[in-house]
Amino acid sequence: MRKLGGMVGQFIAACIGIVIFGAIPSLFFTVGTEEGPLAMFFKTVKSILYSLVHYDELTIMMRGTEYKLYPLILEGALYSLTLILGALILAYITSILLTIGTMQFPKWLREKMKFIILFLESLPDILVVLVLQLVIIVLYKKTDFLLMKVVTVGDSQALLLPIICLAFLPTIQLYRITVHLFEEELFKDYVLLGRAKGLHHTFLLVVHVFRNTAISLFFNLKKTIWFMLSTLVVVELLFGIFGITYYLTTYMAPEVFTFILLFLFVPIFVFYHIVKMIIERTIKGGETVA
Amino acid sequence: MIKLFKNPLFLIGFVFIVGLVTASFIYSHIVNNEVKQIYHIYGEDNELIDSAPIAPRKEALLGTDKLGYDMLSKVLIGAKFTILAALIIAILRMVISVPIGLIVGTYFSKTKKYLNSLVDAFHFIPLTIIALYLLQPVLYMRPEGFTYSLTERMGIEILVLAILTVPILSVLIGNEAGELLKSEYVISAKTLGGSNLHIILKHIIPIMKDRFFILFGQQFVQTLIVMAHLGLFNLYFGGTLVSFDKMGTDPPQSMTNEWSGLIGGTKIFLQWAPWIPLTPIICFALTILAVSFMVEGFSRVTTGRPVYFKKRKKFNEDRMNKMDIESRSDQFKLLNKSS
Repeated sequence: MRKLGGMVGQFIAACIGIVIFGAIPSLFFTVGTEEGPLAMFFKTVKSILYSLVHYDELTIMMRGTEYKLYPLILEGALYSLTLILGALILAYITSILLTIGTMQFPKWLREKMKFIILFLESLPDILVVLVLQLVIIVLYKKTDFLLMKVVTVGDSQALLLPIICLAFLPTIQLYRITVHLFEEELFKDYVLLGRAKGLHHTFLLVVHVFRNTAISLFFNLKKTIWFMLSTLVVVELLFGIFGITYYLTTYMAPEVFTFILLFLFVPIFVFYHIVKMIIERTIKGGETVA
Repeated sequence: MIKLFKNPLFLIGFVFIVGLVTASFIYSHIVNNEVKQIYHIYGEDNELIDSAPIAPRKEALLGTDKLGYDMLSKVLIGAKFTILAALIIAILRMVISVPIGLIVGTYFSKTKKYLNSLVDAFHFIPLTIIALYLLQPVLYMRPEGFTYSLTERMGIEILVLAILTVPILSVLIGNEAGELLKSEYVISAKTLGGSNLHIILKHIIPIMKDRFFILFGQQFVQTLIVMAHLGLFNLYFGGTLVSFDKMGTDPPQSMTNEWSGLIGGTKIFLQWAPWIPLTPIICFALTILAVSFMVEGFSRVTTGRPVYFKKRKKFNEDRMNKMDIESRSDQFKLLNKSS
């Protein structure tokens, strides 16, 4: 119960932080108004709070027409969250499968592979997205076969390629961490015992080693989400997706911006803490070393 | 120090970055900051071979853009701004975060928990969005012109990008310092009457020195990525020139040819002139790679293992034992195999 209280406290503190953050640019803009920067700041905070309570009155201008923000944003948010969730699942599954595959190789080969991982990990996300798009386009031009949708036009939403783009770099990061965790785990005594009993190497990896590293792997979830959100901004721009970051980057009025930012923050915060709670409950009694 | 330069990874990264910045300064000086422009390329019989945008070929190694400006010379001129700006931002981040982190870690170890959970929440907001929101009013030209001058704009951008990761970085450093505070020699130092300041200076900084360099490298990379993202959203380092001419269809322009300015607005060329958007992005990628090589090389020299992995006692012991066995096996021969 105390934990829940702490979480709610953190949530409220973060929301206050977001509102204050939303008003910061008004500090730069005092030229042309008679008021001082601080008065301007508090005025903006007040108007943000007002519009958060009366959220159904917020409107945005889109190609000359005025739209109500509230029902419109739901669709974009849903799309973005689908992308993030899909990419998270894809990244975790692929990295674990890759690791189990890698552990079959001898040590010297693994060291070589780690170097390639270092190389891949330093690729900027923009390059990954553009190159993947280019590959699909070139493939289409050469063979007349459209592997996946490259951009979102009208009702036809690109789904698979954005998810792959989002998942690419996190997969590599997770893969690097997982390989390291597995290698460390293999030194432990229970693996030796398992070997002595004649259990197969792959069986040991999949059942015992994986089970024991799953917790440590989970602790990277926050970092992975953070990284993915950064990439999401680029992916939505380059694919022409009207997701949540499209609205965030197009409509920069403080009231609208803060409202949309909360719309992005709340679901992910709730999702992260639910997953955390489930994991902590299932491994109760086990080691939980971060 | 010498050992560091003997590490091939560190050396490659270092030479690449220093070489690029030097080349950029020398080149800009020679051509006086003017970009080479090629509209048409003619063959031997004066027939037209290609016109702008020209694909990469002998005369223009990286091709030219829509207006015939040579990409290679643009990238070279812009390199110094981008790399030096990112360097300054990364240094500023470290200079601000290290003292804050150390002070939070040692003096406020009780309140650290609350601070942690507060900063934690900001892991769910993309950094690019924060930077974009704060910098848009400063960097993007309005119909009546810029509010601030060029140097002011550069200063504000550097400051905003520097402060951006300070909370997260300080908390990270604070937590690592807090871990060190629990070690036995620090507790003994405290028992002997060492003040917090003494402990920071004599016991924590010497241990964390190497760690700071690695964090610095990671911040450098992170800055470059955020700058590339901002470029994608038409926010260039030093300001974005927008033409408000009714007839004008000029895309937003960068003032300095720095790399994020070269990315902006070029994504539409991806299909028919991929070299235009890809050149600056690959430059970003190469620089980032060079920095990660330096970090990796540094980590291997100072700690003997790759980055990202914290020291695990057991693991190292196992390694040591293994090495012992290996070295001993040289000292004897198996008689049967010696023939």
